[in-house]
Amino acid sequence: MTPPTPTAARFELLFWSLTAICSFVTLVVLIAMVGLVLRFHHARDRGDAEPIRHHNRYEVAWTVVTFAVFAGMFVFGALAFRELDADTRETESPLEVSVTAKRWMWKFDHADGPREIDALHVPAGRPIRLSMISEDVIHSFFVPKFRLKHDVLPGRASTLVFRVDTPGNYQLLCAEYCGLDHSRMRGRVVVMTPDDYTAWRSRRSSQPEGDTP
Amino acid sequence: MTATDPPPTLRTASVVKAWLTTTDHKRIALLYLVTILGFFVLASLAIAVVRVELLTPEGDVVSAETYNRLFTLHGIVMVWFFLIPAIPTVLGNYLLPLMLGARELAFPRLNLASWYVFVAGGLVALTAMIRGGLDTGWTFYAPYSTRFSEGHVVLTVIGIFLAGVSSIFTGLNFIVTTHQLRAPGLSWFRLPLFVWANYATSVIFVLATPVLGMTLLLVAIERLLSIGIFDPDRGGDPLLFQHFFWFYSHPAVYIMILPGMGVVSEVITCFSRRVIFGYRYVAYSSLAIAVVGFFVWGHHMFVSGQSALGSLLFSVLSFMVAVPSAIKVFSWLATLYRGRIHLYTPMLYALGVVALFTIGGLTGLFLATLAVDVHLHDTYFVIAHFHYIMVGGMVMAFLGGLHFWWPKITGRMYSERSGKVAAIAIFVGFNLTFFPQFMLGVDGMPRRYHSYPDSYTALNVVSSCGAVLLAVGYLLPLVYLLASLRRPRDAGDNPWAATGLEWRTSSPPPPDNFEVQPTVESPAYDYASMPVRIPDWIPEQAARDPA
Ligand SMILES: [Cu+2]
Ligand SMILES: [Cu+2]
Repeated sequence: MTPPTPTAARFELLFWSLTAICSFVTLVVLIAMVGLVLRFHHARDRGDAEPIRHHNRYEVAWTVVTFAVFAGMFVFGALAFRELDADTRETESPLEVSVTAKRWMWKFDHADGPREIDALHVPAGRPIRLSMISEDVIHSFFVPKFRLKHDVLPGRASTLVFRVDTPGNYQLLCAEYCGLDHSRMRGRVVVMTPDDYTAWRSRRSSQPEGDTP
Repeated sequence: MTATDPPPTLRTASVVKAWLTTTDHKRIALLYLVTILGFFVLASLAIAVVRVELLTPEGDVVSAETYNRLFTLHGIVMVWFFLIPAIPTVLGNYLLPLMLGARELAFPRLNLASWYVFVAGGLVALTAMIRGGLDTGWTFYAPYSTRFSEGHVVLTVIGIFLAGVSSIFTGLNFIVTTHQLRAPGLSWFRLPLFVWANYATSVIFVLATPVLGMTLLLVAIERLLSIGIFDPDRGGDPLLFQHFFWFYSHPAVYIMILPGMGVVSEVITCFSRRVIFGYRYVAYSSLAIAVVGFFVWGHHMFVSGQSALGSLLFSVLSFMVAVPSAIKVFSWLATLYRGRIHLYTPMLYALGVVALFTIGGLTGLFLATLAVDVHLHDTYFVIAHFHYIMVGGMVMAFLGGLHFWWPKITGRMYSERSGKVAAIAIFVGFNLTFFPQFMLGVDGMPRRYHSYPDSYTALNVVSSCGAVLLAVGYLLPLVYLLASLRRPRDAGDNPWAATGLEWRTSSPPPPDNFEVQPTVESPAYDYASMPVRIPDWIPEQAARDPA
């Protein structure tokens, strides 16, 4: 499946690169361990128990290599994070939606448009800016398929910008523990083609204000 | 029993009294052992119910309220009443003076006091649990904990506060003991790495725990008086709580793993009959972890609204703190090279720790990588990651250490065959339980979910089944270690032919540890001067053992 958002695409690339590197290192460690145990098991005494000399060389070498690999991981992770952060601050003419989290529901308020509960309808291909606030405890707006999450705090607005390219129904979860029905604080993000979205919007504005999905 | 003995009840009473007023570090270690094992069982039972609940997507075994209280109990009891005290207060307490060639810790009565304060804290926390518990999670995030939770938050934080005081007593005692009571000739760079690890841990105990105490007291005060430190409606800031909390709780992760690394260094050298590879690197890496570990707490807050610059810095520092851990892993592997490897039970645990800690550490890098953490934060990936460190690392190291020093502590050898079976069951059960949780996290299953979307069912079932095997693995040592106590004390002073001063005295050691003050002439792990093989009588005796 192709990632539905640019953020998800960046995540996939990074995540699978990390998985490849870390699986490789894990395999090397495990194979080295098993191999050394078999080769130097006391039952097959090889009589060459001389300790390794110049161990400093090895220590310095693997410290430097580890450091370099870690630095690389940091840089790529940070670059992708910066794009996310830049999206949030610099996107032009996004669709604005106010989000209010409240135990245990999500309320969405489209600028000059409809309100909805536990469902967010948005058009594909256009940046959406969520201004999120909580009425009680900390929640977290999390759409696993978008690989995106941000905490929603009381008394302090959080902003999240995203753009979805593939229309569809995406599960929305609360990721920050918020009490009794935390696990049922779920909703969905419905991504529609721009035409469908316009139709949905005019249908919704002709109705009296209500919360039917 | 002869006719001159007092009646059994009186005798029991005086034995109990002797134990409860002892200032012998070895006895206090055993008091701690029994206490923390009780907490381990309690916290395990709580999570057993959780794993049963998670067999199905619907919340159908216990109510959401009960579920939330159960995982909170599991977290709080495991972290503060088992993992943090486990190795320092049991193995550390028992072994530190022995390894240093000392008769006692520097402050024996402070040591006993630490146990009493710990028990008091445990009883207060238990009271809170019995009266219905609390549902904040072990992290106590504000303003949920300060205003919305209806559980016994104040009582519980007082219990944890006391456990923290006890940690500080222990840390202080270890630091002074290591500085002051080393045997003649035992210079810093001749110390066993277990001592270095406990020393580094003690530094964290002393420097970080006060911050936890202060933070938890603020939670209690906020709850009782609503003064508005963390509550935004009253001018407070909930993120302030997170900064305080993780300022302690990230270093606390190293409290929980460093002593385990110390155990691994002791065990791997002994069962490879080799000096540790790169002693100074391994020793300094403990200190580096202890110091740098203080500056990475913000990696728990990448999606909280923390500034982007802050997140960048915390990310880079989190990668840095992983370097010394990698150095340890490589050094342990290099120690095996050209060794004469003996696969006794403690060694199986130690190799298991190296494998699981490697996975736990590398998956930590995923969470340190900013853009990746945005997705993985607060999912089961995090749960899996820290259980690989805490259970795969710390609990396995604790068990490995317990088996390694069991003949020293009790004078008896346990059934080697049972030991191996248990170690393998724990290793397999652990991986079955926790590896699927990585996959759940990648799929986006959030933690602390009583019910969950259907798509997560299969992996949860695998995880719960693995937990059954893990539980069986944990029960086995309880059985055969206790059974070994009925055997004669014939383990000898040094059954593993190990270096280290603790093996130069009898098993168990006399009250004053050594008949004559030992002196040290050689560096640590001088296995070149020891037999290249561990005497064979151990497996033979174990074979005769009915267990
Ligand atoms: Cu919520
Ligand atoms: Cu951390």
